[in-house]
Amino acid sequence: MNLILSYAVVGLVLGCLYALTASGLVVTYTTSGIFNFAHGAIGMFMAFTYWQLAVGWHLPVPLALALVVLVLAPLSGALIERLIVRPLYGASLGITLVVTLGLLLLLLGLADAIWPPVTTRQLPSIFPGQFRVFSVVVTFYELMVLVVSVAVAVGLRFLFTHTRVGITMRAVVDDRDLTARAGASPVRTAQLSWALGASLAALAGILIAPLQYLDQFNLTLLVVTGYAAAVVGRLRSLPLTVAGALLLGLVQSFATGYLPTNLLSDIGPAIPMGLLFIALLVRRQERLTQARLTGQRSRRVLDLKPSLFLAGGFIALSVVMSEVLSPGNLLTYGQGIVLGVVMLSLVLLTGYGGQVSLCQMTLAGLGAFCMGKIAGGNSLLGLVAAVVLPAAVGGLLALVVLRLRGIYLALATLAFAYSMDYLFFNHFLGFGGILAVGRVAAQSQKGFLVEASVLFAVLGVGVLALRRGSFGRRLAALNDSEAACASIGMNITAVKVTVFVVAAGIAGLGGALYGGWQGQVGPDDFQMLTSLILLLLVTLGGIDTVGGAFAAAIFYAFSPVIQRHIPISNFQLLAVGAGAIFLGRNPGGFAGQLSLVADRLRLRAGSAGVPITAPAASSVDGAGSRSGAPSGEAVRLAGSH
Amino acid sequence: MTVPSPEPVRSGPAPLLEVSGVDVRFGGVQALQGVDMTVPAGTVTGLIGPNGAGKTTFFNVVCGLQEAQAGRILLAGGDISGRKAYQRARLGIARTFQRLEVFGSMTARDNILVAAEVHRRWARTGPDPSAEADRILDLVGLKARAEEQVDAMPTGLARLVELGRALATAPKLLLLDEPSSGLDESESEEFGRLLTRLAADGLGVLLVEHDIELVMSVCSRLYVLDFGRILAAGTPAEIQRDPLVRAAYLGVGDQAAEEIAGVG
Ligand SMILES: Nc1ncnc2c1ncn2[C@@H]1O[C@H](COP(=O)(O)OP(=O)(O)OP(=O)(O)O)[C@@H](O)[C@H]1O
Ligand SMILES: [Mg+2]
Repeated sequence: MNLILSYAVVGLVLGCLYALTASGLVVTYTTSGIFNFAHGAIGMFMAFTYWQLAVGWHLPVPLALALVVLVLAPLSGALIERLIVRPLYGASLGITLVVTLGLLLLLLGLADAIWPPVTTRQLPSIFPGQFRVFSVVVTFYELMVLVVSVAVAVGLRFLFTHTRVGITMRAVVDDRDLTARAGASPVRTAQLSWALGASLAALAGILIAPLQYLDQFNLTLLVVTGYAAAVVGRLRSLPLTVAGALLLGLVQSFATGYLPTNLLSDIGPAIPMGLLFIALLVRRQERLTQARLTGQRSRRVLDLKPSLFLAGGFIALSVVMSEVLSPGNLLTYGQGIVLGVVMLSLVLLTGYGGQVSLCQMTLAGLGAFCMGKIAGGNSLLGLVAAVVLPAAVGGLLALVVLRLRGIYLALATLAFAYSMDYLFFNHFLGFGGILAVGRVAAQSQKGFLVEASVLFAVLGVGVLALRRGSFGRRLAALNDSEAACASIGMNITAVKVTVFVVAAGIAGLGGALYGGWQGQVGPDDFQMLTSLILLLLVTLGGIDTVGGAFAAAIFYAFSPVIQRHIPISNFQLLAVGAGAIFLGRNPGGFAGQLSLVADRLRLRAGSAGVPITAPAASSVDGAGSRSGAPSGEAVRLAGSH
Repeated sequence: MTVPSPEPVRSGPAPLLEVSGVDVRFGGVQALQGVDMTVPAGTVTGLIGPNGAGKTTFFNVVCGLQEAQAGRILLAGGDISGRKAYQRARLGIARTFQRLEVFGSMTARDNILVAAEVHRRWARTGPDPSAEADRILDLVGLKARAEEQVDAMPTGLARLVELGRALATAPKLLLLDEPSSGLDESESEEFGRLLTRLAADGLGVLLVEHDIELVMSVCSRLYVLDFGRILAAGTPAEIQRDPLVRAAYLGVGDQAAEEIAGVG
């Protein structure tokens, strides 16, 4: 009985901490409409800042606490909103996702650079000591977490129901324009919500940290549990979110208590993801996506001839590289290319089809696994399996997440990747530690590099051909408006499953090549975080073009070289993070910028190949003029000739 | 102003579209209440009503994008109430959208082509999609702007793209939600002639339109929707005389009411 109570107390405390995180997430999401993937990272950064003040600079604990939670965190939240988030209002999910993920990487990289993880850091305990209730030991720290959480919950409730500011915040969610017309500034309100969200993130980060020593990655990823709670609350309802968080805390605590230890260490961390998955799947059917005006000019798809020409050029480049590069540089160049194959799968799935996937490295890992395990690790059979098995898994995943769109789809693929980390890659029955992977055909380093380059080139040409053809048009249509797709008789399910299957097959092949290039791979190669970095990289390159995947591959290949020549640590992480944030203002990526420049040059040269007209409506505001807003129609009806 | 002579409502077998008792609620808002409607093939039927009357919601129910709490929808006599949106499209229901749903990243031609291709894929018969796309581009008068990206087109033209895309599915029933907004007067007249021509070829058209002049000139029968209920149904001439309709429109604007009364 006592044991049960003890676990309940621990679970409750854990649940409260999750509730703090998740509430912050929900507040920013509902008010600004942007899901902040960097929420955990902000909390992590603030926890480190707090450590710096309280331990590093010996400030009194209450002062440091107040400074971080009440001043620094809200200030940075407001600043982030102003500088990074504001250009994103009305942007596509793909962009907002990449920008906030970029912020996550940037904060992670910064924290890693400022507080190198060579020493362990412990936060000062705020209230040491403990007491007993019905012979259950409760620490003062636990009591404090409970009290703070209840206070925050009550405070938020009051804010949203009884204060002008809070009511405006809720109103912004329902109707931005209406709020604006009523005199409140939606932007100002959103800024406030980001400040509040950052405060909550900081509080959660600081309070969670004593449960372990300070660690950038763990603190950042703790928020993944917060995602689960927030989804239980449908990203809107604070009470439901809190309930979800408490449930999660309790389940985790009792799992710790009653599951056999070896089983627990294997699947424990996947529990929140299981709940996230269930919460996602029990949501009622969402509406089909509707068209949105991006005001972005879409790039022409390369014709067959130029694409063959470029593919040939790329293979020639690789041949030259294989001769001139030092072994070390050759290694990273090849890594770029084999990962480029995985990125091609993202171009197809996310760039063309608009289906955001945060689990492509997981599928690549399955490919590497097949390659390594089957028939000696270097057989054609293994390579075929490396395509077929991930493709099948991709198809299954597509069927399961079919109903989900936008942010929910992204979260589901993230949950899949995160669970696979524990249930497969780090499981002795699954991936099983380090795995040697062989090569098919060319065995030498140079030969295999050319082989991989040829495959990349062929796949690139193939993906472009697919895009130019009938299936490609259906993909683009799916990306533009599902409602319209249904209205012309297109079976959306079939198109989605197909594109998931094909993309997963390509990712699997990329994984097998990656394994072959490295010689051996481990669970760490296919972590969720790697999938995120890959998505960011290819978005930076330009996710809607094959050239984008190429640019990203080359950047990946050469960033270690750049790293060697500059004094900044974590160059790749910081560059990708900063680059992704920059995307908020220049969607389209590197390839997009290039094609813009090319268009300008073409225009200047006077060849009127592509008409460059300003879109009828180039901004979010423009959407109104197209949407047949009721008010406008009323005027027309009443005042027409 | 020429008003085509109204055709008899029930001639021949089952009417193209027969809707009965449709209810839709959004939380507290009763968007549609016991709506009955019949749309015959080969004519243009009008659906008018003030803002928020439920016209778009009705379209969504018919084409399967919105579930109804009650009601039956028969297409050529067959019950399609349980079918998904894409299945209904394959049975012959095509539509355009009031709030544009073009494939904005694609060219006008590709918008139409993708619809023709989808139709060809499942029907396994019919004209070559590419030739069909060109024919329709010509029909809706977009030949000259076929290669423009639709997001960059003015609203009126984008609506024509939607019309072309709908026609490319070889529909039996065409639902048009305010197709003429964004067109100027002469374009509007041209559009009216196109509609009459399409109907003459056997297509059943249901037209939601605020441009009363256009409605009165092309529709052989009109339904008036108000607060989710069918307020009146009849020939344009009958509707013009209906005191209930005039009262409903008076709530929106005197001018509109006068317009209804005065046109024709
Ligand atoms: N998805 C929705 N959720 C909630 N309410 C809705 C939804 N769609 C429509 N409504 C409401 O249902 C009613 C009917 O709307 P609908 O758009 O069908 O009217 P309409 O006749 O097309 O008007 P308009 O002439 O302005 O286009 C309105 O009160 C509207 O606010
Ligand atoms: Mg409408």
